[in-house]
Amino acid sequence: MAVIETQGLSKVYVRDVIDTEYGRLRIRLTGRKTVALDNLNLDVNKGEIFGLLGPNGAGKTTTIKILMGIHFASSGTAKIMGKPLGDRAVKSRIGFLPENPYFYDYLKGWEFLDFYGQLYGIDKRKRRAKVEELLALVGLTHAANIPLRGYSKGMNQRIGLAQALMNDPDIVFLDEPQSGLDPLGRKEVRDLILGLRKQGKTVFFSSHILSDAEMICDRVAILFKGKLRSVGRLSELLSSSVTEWEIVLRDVDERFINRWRDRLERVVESEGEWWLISKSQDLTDAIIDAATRDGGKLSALTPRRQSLEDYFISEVKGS
Amino acid sequence: MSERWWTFLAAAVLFAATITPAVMLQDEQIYRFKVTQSQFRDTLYLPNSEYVKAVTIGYDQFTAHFLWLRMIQSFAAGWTRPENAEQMMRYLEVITDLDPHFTEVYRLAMMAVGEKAKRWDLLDRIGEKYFIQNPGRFLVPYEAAYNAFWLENKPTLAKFYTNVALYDPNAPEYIRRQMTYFSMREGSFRVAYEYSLRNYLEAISATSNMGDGRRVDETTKNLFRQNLFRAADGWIRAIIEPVVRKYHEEHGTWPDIDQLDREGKFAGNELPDFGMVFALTEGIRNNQVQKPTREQIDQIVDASIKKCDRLPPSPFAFLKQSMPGYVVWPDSTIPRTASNVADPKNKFELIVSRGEALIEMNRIFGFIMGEAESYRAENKGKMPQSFADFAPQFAKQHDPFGGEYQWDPKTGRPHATGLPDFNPKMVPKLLW
Amino acid sequence: MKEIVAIALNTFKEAIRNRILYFILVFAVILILLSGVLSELTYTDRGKIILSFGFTAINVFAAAIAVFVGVSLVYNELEKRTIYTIVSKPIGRWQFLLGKYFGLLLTVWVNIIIMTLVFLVMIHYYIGMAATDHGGWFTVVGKAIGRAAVTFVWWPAFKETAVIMPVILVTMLEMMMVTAFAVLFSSFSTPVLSMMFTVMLFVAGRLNEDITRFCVTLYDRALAAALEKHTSIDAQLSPAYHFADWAAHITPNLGAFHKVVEQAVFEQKVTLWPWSIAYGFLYTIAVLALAIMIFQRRNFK
Repeated sequence: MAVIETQGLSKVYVRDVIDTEYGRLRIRLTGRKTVALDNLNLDVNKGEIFGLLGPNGAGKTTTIKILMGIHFASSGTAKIMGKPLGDRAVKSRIGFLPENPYFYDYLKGWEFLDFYGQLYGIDKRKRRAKVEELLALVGLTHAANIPLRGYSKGMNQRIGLAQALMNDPDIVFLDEPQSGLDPLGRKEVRDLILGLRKQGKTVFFSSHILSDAEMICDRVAILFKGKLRSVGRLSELLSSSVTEWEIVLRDVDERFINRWRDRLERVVESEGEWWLISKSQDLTDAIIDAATRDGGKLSALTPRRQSLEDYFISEVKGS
Repeated sequence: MSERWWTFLAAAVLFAATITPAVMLQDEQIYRFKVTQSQFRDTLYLPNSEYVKAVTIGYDQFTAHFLWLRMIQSFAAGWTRPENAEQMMRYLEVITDLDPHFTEVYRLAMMAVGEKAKRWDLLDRIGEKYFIQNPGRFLVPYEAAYNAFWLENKPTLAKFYTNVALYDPNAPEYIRRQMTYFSMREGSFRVAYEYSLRNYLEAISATSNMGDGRRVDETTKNLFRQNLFRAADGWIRAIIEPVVRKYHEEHGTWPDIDQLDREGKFAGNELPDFGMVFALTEGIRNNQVQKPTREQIDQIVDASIKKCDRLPPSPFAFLKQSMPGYVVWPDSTIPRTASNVADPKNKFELIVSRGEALIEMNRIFGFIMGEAESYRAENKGKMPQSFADFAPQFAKQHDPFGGEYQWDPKTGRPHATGLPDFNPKMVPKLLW
Repeated sequence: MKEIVAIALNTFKEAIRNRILYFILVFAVILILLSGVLSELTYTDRGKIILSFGFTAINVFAAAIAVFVGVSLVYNELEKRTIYTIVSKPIGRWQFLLGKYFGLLLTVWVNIIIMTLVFLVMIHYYIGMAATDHGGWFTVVGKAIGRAAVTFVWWPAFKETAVIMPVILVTMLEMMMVTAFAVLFSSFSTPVLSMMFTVMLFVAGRLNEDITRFCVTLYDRALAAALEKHTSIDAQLSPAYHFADWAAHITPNLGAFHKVVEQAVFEQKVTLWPWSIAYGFLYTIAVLALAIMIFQRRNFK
């Protein structure tokens, strides 16, 4: 069942005629239109972790902004839980963490969460319990009484995650949840997202860090220059078979290598070892056989599968 | 040393090198400022009020008050100097433009521009501004009237200002009273007479007070009576003078006023019936006649003026036996001879005798009350019940008007039946 | 409603944790106290000078708070993107804007009340010191604080200060309008521009009566010219007249309120045309509606 669906969603930004750029007043009459999103069709199913991937400026944030009602789509429609955008009942069942969040820095940690609880209309006693629970979840109990201006970037990100979970949402939208975090922080966020899936929640998140996405996403969509390149399960997008073999040989001379050089993908010599990349199983077997016969030694043989990164690069290059 | 230190040192040297001459130059400026005589005009420059208004963005009143403080500090004692009037006027104009209701500014203008500098043109301008902006407020017009009359010698203008002041329902009584003086100086004797008679009647019948709640005292009552006499006298003389002058032009000699009166030269003029007025007012003042109400006062004032064939008696004849005739004031050019100050009173014996009788009766009343007091002193404060108890000679004696004396033991006051209690319907009958 | 209150209280918290507010408040208190000192310069009408200076200080600084705190409130939310999380919550944008408005209004009103209390204490202090047997300044200050508190609760309690609370209520009404403008401009423009717009509108609003007077002068001139040349008045009306007429109608008439203040100073009484109150409320609602119209439609950065 699709909880998020978009149909032909497009966004064209029109810049102001009079604008300030680098502190100078600028009058712009041409080139005022930028297509940020072009005809996006997406379906996100209940209970899955959906990754919206793409390089900077691909339209990821624009998509989330439209879904959150921060921007209005130029054309096309979108539905969350079967209701059009902006529906109050739906809004009370979703959580949202914006990119590089900045919050009311004059509020203390618990005041901040309490304020958001009020916006959801949660009554006072429940609010207090929920605030404590969330602070513990994101590991900020010690910082509950510190104003947000004293928070580090990671703490900010975590309190942002906490506010997104304030209403126990069914769908959580996370815009670049791991950007700017150290490896440990990234792992924590990753575990948190996986925990959410365990609770049966849908997670819709955008990222340009593919390795993170690869680890947790059920399905991904790849955006580039506002257009949807592909969408699907990771297993569908990436071929499961081995596509390359990396062979490391020792004690072979250059003559031997030259025999195969034409058929190999890459050949690199380093400290008396030869690194070869082969594209087929037969070729690999033949090289290894021949090398052993010539008295060479096989140091390592690594079969390589396609990664999301490879797929991504090939997709982007193809456009 | 590192670059950081060099930069710091260079900046410190630069600072030390520049601050000293700068402070020295400032000292020099202050010194020059001190030794040169500061010019009044320089320190008090102020643009026109339109421009000031544009920058006050609606805080007009605040700016006005601020300029007011600035102005009174700047002028300090200098406001009494006439040469500062123009400069001060500029400030006053701007302040009053910004806050037209700031009464104190106008009052200062009255003093500085009017009383001290004698710039009547400026004074009238600021006065006019006040009346337009603050209709129905008596204080400034009252002071303007005072200035116009006593300093500017413009009684008509003073009357105008007073009339403006009287628009204020809270205006004290004394503002209306001063109309007597203005009208008299202006030559409007009839108006002066009406005002003064009304003032006097109100004062002695206690329908009026001093404006601050105090009852009118005896001295003030006498002052009002004096005014009444002057107004009536002035009026009668204003009738006499042109006739006498005409006679002088025709015959070359000064006439006998008595003779002219007999010939009917003054007939047909409206004049105050002064004998009656005097009798009535004295009666009221001595509690022999009932005190009139305000409406009755109006009726008396109207009834006391009538068309007459002969001149009425001179008011001052009632006051001073030594000066029986119409008072010819020093400003009159008519020579003061026996014939023209003489009062044709022999023609109005009855009235004169009435006046004299009133005075006589007052004396008798005083005597009766004195006797009563001594009776009470002897009888432990007991009030005498009849004349027989303490003054039997008055029991049968007639009063000067043909009635009888009576004693009222309740109030402890004597009465005379000959002078009837005041009744407005009686007024025409009382007039001769 | 709950959401509006939550946002209003949060806005109030933001404002009172803002340092600029305290700078303004300190200046205001200094000027109010200065009004007492300055009034010693005059030889007469001391009460009027104190009242006039005090009211002006309260009015100017209340407006300053409305402008300086107000213009950045909505803009900051957009600039720092805190609005993102707010919009995704189950509240309408209009609720957000109204919450901001009421929070700002609360800030301005609370500050007016603080300034008024200082003002009342100062006046009662001077009245107390004027008495011959005042019993030392400590007693006088104590009494003044008590009397100020009483005046605050029951304004006609003392003759000398009976006029203050009504004037303060009128000032609050005026600030209601100014704050609405601050929120309106802040909802679509940068703080510097909003500040300029709001200050300009405040100034124009206070000069509204002068603009009208200028209109009348121009009309009289046109009328005289028309009579002289035997033409219609319309032909003689200059573009300046039309502009001034238009300006007088388009700018808010804040003069209606400051006239009340001036009358209070010179007559010691307050008479406000009852419809002025209705006018203040209607204008505020209209401006807020306009702000909501703009806010409802716009994309956030």
